Amino acid sequence: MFIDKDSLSVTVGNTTINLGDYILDAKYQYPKLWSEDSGRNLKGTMSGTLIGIFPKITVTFRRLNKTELENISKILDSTTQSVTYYDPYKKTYVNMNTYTGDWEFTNNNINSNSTFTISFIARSKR
Amino acid sequence: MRVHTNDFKTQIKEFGRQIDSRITFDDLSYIGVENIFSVNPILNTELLKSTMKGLNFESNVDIDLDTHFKYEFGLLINDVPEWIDFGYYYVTKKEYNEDRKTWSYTCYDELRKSMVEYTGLNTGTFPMTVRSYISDICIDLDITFANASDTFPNYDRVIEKDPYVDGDGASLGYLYRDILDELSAVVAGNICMNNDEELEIRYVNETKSINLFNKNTVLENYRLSSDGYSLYMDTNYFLTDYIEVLPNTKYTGNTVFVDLYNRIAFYDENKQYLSHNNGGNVKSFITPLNTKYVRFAKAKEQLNTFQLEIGDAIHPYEPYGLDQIDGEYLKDVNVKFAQKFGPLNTIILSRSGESDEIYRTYPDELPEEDRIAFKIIDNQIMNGNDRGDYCQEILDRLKGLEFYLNDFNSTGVLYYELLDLYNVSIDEEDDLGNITTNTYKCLMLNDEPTINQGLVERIFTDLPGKAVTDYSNMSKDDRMLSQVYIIAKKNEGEIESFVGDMLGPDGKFTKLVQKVDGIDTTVQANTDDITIIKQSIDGIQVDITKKGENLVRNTMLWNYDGWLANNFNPLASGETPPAILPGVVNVIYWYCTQTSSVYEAGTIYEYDFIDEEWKPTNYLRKDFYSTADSVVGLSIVEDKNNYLSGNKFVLEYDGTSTTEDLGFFSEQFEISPTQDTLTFQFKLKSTVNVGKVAVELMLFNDEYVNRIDMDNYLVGSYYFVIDETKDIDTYKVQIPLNSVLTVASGNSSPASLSSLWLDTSGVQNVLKKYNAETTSWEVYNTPNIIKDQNNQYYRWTIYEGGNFYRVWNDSIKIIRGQVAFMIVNDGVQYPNAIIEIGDIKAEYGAPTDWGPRQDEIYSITHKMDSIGYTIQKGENKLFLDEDELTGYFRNGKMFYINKNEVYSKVSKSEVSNVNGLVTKKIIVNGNNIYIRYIEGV
Repeated sequence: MFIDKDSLSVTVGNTTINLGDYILDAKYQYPKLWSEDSGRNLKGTMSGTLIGIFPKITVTFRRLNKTELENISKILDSTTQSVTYYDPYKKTYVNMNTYTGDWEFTNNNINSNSTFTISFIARSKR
Repeated sequence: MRVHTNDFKTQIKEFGRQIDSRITFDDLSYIGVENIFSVNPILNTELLKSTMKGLNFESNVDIDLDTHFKYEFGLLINDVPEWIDFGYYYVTKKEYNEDRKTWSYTCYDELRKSMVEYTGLNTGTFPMTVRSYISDICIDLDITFANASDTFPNYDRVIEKDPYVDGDGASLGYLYRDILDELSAVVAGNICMNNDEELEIRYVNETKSINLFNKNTVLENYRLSSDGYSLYMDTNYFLTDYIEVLPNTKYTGNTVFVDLYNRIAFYDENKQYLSHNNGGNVKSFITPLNTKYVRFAKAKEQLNTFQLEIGDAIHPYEPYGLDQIDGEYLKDVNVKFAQKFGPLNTIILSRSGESDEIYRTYPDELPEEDRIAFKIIDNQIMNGNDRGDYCQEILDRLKGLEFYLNDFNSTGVLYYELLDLYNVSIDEEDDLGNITTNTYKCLMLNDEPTINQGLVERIFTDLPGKAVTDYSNMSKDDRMLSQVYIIAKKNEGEIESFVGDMLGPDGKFTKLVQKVDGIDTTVQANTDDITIIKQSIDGIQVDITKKGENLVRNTMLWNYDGWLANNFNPLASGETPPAILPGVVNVIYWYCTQTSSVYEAGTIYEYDFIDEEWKPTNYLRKDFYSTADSVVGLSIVEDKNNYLSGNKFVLEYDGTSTTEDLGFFSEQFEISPTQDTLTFQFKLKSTVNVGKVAVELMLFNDEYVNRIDMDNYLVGSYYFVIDETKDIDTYKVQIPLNSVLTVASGNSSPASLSSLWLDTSGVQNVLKKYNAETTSWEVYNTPNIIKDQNNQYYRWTIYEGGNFYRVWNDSIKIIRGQVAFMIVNDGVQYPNAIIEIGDIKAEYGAPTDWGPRQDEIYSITHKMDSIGYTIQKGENKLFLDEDELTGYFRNGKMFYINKNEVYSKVSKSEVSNVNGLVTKKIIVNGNNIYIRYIEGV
């Protein structure tokens, strides 16, 4: 969650970008990943192993100009990233290793870039 | 059980559990779930086997072969993993998965060191105990033996020789692991590595429920008084038994301890009261130092629901007893609980392809239909005839073991270890749709957890041992009345079959040992009488040890007309002539064994009493033996009316009137002064009904050397008098050798209560003996005591039946014996008569069956003794000693060889006659000797 303007940042190599400067909103998700052993036991009770909670942060970038896109493209094109965010469960800033999906934007006019969305997904359980 | 908390047990089944894994290397670095993709600990074993644990895992980390590591399973409890120790392993095999970019590792615990060939112990020598053997094996394997000082079944039994190498100490191809397998059976456990990497003998472990309260041992209607230990009667309460706890540890119940009513008393290890706690309306208490037991009261309505746990948390109720899991731990597929095994009450030791089995039961005499057995097959250590002892201790350890065969998939338990005994409680529906809760006791022998992103665990237990239904060919023990067994000694490459009596190897038996190179047979009557025949491709070797206990030998007939012509004294033998005693009139013969200026070795000399010198004769030694042979030997006397056959001596009288006595003497034999009893016996059949036939055992003092003046030295004699027709019967007497009779004579009783008293105070002397019970001297009538003219006392006793007379002077010590046989004519002429006497035997101690003297061997066709070898078939006989060779054909002496002389009654020759010229060609040693003469001249 955002508790101040610097509550979400992403680092690739030596480059760290404060996402608060670029995004319109951020959606924090905490998906549970269940093992294949999950099912009902002999008593009929649901049983299973929780592999873990793998946080997923989906951000919507505002319309970015050429320079801004150039700045963040390095982040978005990288295989993995290190994302720092404030975790309300742990009540502290958490650094997680992430991967992202494809990113895309639309140009309606010269230098007029559309907004776009991308998710940072934790590679390890929280 | 692996060390775990009650929380672990609860959380491992919870939905949403989170698991972890950790592999820690010797340098304390480790890899976790980020690098471990799956782990499969493996436990596959059987009861009474060595157990090597395995572990397979897949990782993206390249780990060297032989890397030593520890695996732990983690379960997240309150965000902190609780680690369960699965022990140490070695990376034994690795494969790279190109597609997954990972490594698959196969790992085993330190018992993998035992997977090497056994070539005999590097340390220690046999014989050694079972425990020492395991210790020395551990030294060889560089493994610590955790039970090196412990006692366990058969730990002190001695292994005489290494059963896993051949007779030359060479390897038989066994692995150390094979030996540990068999040792596991010997010690009635499973040999395995513990988590401290020590070799441990693991036994069946009854796990404990988390509930420490046993509702079955409460004392109803009582609670504790205010002093904390006295009992206070209150029908609303029950008082627990002593519950074992740890000192300075927190325990929690599932209900509060009501102040004053549920006060908790603490006791030391001797159950002595230490202190108490009033309860305080809380659920928990902490045990003081030195506490070993606690007791407290609870309201009666809590009897079936109360639970006491270690720690400060309370978990779902479990009954007291074995640790129990229920359906929440089981997957809803593959849940099988089959037949119940046990309670085990019989151990069977089997060998020789299960053809030779013994068993022990509990209780001792258990009907066959009630036996539930575990069979141990072909164990090399328990292959001898002491296996019954091994069997008993194994039974003592395992008796009562029971469990259900099972095969089920679990959502994961993980804390059960090898040989843990635990309960599985599940709800089951019967045919009528009724649901009942059944509890199955299970034994952990096979465990295959799969740990990856999730966890499943397959657990199964098969039927142990081998089903046994036929006891008809089994004996309870090898030490039964009849020992009959066949042992297949696979390691030594031989089969041993044995039939013997209950006395075992010292007793009577026959044994056959079959090897690849030959067959050995042993026939043993006792440790002194043994015949061994060893047959191989090179021939047959016969070893005979015959140590007969018979003191009688070389019985010598003495002459009388109509009976026997020969009359010889015993033949003396030696390098120099024997001394001739004054007054001795018998003919003396001496066999010279060393040539001198006067005498020639190999010649028999006769003493000439007139010239008083030794003169050579033409006698052969055999000539003496033919009449001076043992009455129990196999021989033929050349006299037609007298012969020795088998074990009897038959005298057939030809009816010629005579008043002469007939008899024989044996050689004198020495009697050991250390012996207490001499037994004399013989068998006799007689048709004599006039006169008397007597067999006498004469006993002499040590001054007696010649029978001529025997009366002066005769100490006593035993007569068996047969004065009527008798069928073959055995006459037998046991003679005390060293008894001393003392008789005190006088008007007053003697001081010594052990002597007899000839009371002379009355008109007639009365012999008396002291009676300790009545404390008085009483008339002593039996045996009768007589006093001779030399003022010596004798006993004279007539035994029942009147056939045995005993005359005895108790004051003289016996040192020699001699057997005599005689027909006492009493002036009456003998009629036709046949007397058969045989099996004469004098021996020390209790009577036994007839046997020869030491170093004498008899059979139907041959005799071997100190005289020489005699081979006989029908009327043909061959005698051989060191300087004679004599052949008989149809009882006629055909040839003999003595010294350098050869005598032949008939020689082969070729004869031709040409016009009256006779030519005889005698063939001697390939040379032809021609004798020519004119026929009729």
